[in-house]
Amino acid sequence: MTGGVRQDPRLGDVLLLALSVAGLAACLTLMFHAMRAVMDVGGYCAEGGPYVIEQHCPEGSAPALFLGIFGLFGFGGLGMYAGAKAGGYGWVPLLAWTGLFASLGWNFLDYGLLSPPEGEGIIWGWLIPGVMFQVMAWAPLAVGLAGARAMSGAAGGSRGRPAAIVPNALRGPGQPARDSANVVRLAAATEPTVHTTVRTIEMPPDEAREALRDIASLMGAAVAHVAAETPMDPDLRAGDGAAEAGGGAAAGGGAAAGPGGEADFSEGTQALLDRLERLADMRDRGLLGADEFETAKEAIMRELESRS
Amino acid sequence: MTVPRRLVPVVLVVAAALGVLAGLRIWEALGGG
Repeated sequence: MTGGVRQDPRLGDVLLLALSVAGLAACLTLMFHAMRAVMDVGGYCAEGGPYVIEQHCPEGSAPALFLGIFGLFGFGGLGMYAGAKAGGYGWVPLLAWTGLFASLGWNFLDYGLLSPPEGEGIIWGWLIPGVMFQVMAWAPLAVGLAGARAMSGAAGGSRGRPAAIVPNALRGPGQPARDSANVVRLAAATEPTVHTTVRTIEMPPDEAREALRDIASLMGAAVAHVAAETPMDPDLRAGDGAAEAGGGAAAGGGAAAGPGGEADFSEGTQALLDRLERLADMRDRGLLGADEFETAKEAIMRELESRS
Repeated sequence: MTVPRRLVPVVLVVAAALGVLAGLRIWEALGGG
């Protein structure tokens, strides 16, 4: 698959996404009308509870708001799932944010400024939230669109998605611009940073299996060799060096090595035996093959022989 | 079975319109309007 070209989505995923979009639209409609009904009776109301209620809610507004609020969450989640599964449409339910605040903000502006209740002038308590709601509705969309436009220019035509465009779009004053192309790669992994050449070799399955086994064997042998040559514990390595020094002193002096030298020598030998044990353990756990274990074991045995 | 990518926005707009109609019906059914 080349970068930027996507496969057509499956019918089931598109239908699920369409269902969630329809559900979101229905929820927004319910909340829009329920809010207007509440504003028609003064902007506040109450239902239920052990209270004397001054203003009951208009019929249907309470269940409509209940359905609308929880439906937005449910259909939003469903839409993100279906949109992502369809490939690249996971952001679609986010448009409900703009739809919600734009429609409710319109209600505030309508009742507070354009057509206030009889006998009332501008109602600032509704006008101000109306303006705030419009800003909340459109500002994220504007940021997203600006980022998407920047991405489409910088990334060679590949389409930006919210996850990729937000870092640049929200860049503060004085902050350096991030490489848009890298952001896209990070978010969508569309193009690798390092271009590699892949050569396809066709061979019968048996030969391919054999070749893979050879490669695995070579890699395992390399790992086993390094494991055998390099003790994990630096103290043990220091013990090896001391043992060699002790052996040299014994040979040069022509006398028996002192108690300290013997101790170092046995410590070094013990380290080799420990290493052998660790390798056997790795073999038993399936981390090393039998061949690799034998290779490493021979290396250790050679070292043990050289010590003796 | 797949849907051509260029048709997806059309499907979503139609779905949104149907959703608004459904919302109006539900609102009436709840006693509003």
